[in-house]
Amino acid sequence: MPRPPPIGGGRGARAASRPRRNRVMRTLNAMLEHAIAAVAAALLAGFTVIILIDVVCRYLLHIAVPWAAELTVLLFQWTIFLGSPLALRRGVHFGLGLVVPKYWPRSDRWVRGFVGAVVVGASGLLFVLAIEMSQRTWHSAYPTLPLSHGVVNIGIAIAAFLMILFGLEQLYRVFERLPEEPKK
Amino acid sequence: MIAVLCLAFAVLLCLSVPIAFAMLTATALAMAVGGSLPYALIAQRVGAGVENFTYLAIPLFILAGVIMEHSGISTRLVALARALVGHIRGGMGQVVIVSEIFFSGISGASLSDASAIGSLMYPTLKQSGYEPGRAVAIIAAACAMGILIPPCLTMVVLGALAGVSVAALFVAGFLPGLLMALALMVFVYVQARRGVLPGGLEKASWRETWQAFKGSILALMLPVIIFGGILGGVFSPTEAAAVAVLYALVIALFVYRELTWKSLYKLFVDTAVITGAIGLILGAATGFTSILALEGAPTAVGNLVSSVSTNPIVFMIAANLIFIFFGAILDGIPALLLFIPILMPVASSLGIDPLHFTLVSVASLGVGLVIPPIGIMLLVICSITQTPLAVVARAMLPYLVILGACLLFIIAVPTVVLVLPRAVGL
Repeated sequence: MPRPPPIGGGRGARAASRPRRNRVMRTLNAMLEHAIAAVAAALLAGFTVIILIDVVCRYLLHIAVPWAAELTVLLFQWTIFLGSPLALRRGVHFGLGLVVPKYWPRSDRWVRGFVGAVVVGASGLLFVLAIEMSQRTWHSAYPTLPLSHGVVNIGIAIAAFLMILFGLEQLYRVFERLPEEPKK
Repeated sequence: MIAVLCLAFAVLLCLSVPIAFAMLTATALAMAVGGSLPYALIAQRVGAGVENFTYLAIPLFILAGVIMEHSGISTRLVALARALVGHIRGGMGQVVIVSEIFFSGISGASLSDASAIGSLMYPTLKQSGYEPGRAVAIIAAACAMGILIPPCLTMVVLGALAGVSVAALFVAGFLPGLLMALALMVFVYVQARRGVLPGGLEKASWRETWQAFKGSILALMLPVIIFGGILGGVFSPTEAAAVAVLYALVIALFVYRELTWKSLYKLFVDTAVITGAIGLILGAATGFTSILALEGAPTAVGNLVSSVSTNPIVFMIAANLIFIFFGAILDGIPALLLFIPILMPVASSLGIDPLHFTLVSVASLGVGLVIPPIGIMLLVICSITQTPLAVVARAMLPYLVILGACLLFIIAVPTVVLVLPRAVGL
């Protein structure tokens, strides 16, 4: 005999709300991922163009572009800071792979949970330290750019914050026994 | 402090924590135990570790390579290789090796070369009568050799890390790379002669060879532009990488017209993602290795090595076994980030030329990447060709012996590495 649908609260209702909660989280994180990807691609294109402009100015026009090196390195750093959370969500960070579950399959969920917890913990620590560093370095400016060195640390803090979000999504999936996000 | 650092890192790695996060966590734990260093060092080093203009070549060479590979250049390069060496015994095997030389010359990323060569050549190898295991083994061995053919991301990272000229590393890679390629070609020839591999293909006519050359000339111009620019003093390796991106874009969008703007956007995003993954490791490794250096790890390793042997060749062999082993475990570049700061001072104290040491490290890393069962490049090729690792592992063995013998030769004869850079004044 089929079970009646859950009415009101109780475990059944909580279970029914899980897919919706998961869908909302996935949708929000996917939107965030698209936005970050667009900015990261633009930054990559940006520093490529600046390097080319620098080469052309130096060798063809004989004009020095003193800010080019600092700006390109800054854009490169931000590309990394936005690329690393994307790499986390897409599961392309370098690692040994799941060694323990390979030999001890029953541990799979716990290992994934542990990895997620370490990622969130390390990112949380990085977030706090990057905020502290940005405060310390805020008054130190680049020699050729009207920008503070704190901008780099803000980038690290944003990267860490995004990695916390994506790490929490992974943890949620582990403990709700949902399948892994497919690799892109 | 070093014990905590290394133990925590090893345990976290074994528990599948990604390398960058394992390094960050191990660094924080070691600082908590040591108590003498400020935690802010972690965030400071993550930013400072990637504040290097040379590193900009990493995403740019990746981007130039993937644009070229998605513009239909791969088939043109293979056609040229086939016209040039397809008629030699072991025809398709020879084509794979020569194609890899061409591919590596236009792309800086070994893994993308491996995926391009694997997906393109495997079906043809099978059609030509190659057993799946042997076909994958030839592709993997060729890709291990390809890491030495510049431009190469590993050389960019290593150059910046060890303070060695990236341009000198690029030039130094040519001869050892071609030597390895020759050794592999001779081995394929011998195997074909003994009937283990299929024979050669029909010899291409001059007209066919000319057509194949004309079809790929634009792609072959890319290494000429890169090295002409670097050696002519027009631009640095990083600027050469940006010029390579521009050149690849012009060819892909306006000449071959096989790349759409939509797919170009995807290539930019994918490159940014890989850059993020590599960059976070570079940043995290800077903090990690700072602790090792502050605690005197290089001196301790140096003393240990001196107590065993002061023979530079013995040290080089031991160091390269480390690179092969950890290169296989840690997917290449992270192994360099960990061990170069420790081993480089020891190599210098033993009178080993830094350029020789760094280039041999790159070569051994290439070998490590195809060591069964964990070499990432071998796993990528197995996955693309859907060939079980167990089938490949046995077939891979003779190729590993050949690569290992070449590595020993490069270690014992530094001239092979140093002659070209010295000849062009680098």
